Amino acid sequence: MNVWLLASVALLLCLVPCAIRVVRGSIADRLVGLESGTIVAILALLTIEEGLQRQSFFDLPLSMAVLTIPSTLLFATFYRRWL
Amino acid sequence: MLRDVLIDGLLFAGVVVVALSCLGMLVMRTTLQRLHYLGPLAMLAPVLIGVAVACARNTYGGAGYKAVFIAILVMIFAPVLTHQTARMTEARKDAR
Repeated sequence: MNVWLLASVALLLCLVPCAIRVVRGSIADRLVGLESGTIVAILALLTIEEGLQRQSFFDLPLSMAVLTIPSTLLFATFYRRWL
Repeated sequence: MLRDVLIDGLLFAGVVVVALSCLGMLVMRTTLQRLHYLGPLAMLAPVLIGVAVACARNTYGGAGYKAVFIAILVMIFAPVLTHQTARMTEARKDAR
């Protein structure tokens, strides 16, 4: 196990506080947990790719960054205006 | 040798920033206080880890650029998202 995989394990452990925040509290609190969990997951996928030396794995955090963050933004806007 | 130390240092700093931000987000009381901890998570950690990946690649090929591009993407979108969430929180507070 190299330093990148150790870092990815540490980052995946950081998803636990985000998951706790997602399952408890108000909707805004849950959204904050979702946002932070998304960013942590993107960074964890980056380090996993580097640890496994698979260049094709780069597409996963890239597509996650492109799709997930704007969709959460859309949800926040939708919730503020219409729900 | 120096490059390895630099990469390990950047990676360690990035992981520490993520861990502290997640813990801060967990223990704070209000939503706006929690939102403050998204700042270092979204602005500092992607830069540290993205630069570490780009340095580790040691090439000017696609992978290093992709890591930096992902970091820039997160840095652009996350503050907008934080702002929008804060507005949503305030709007819901007004609606009550």
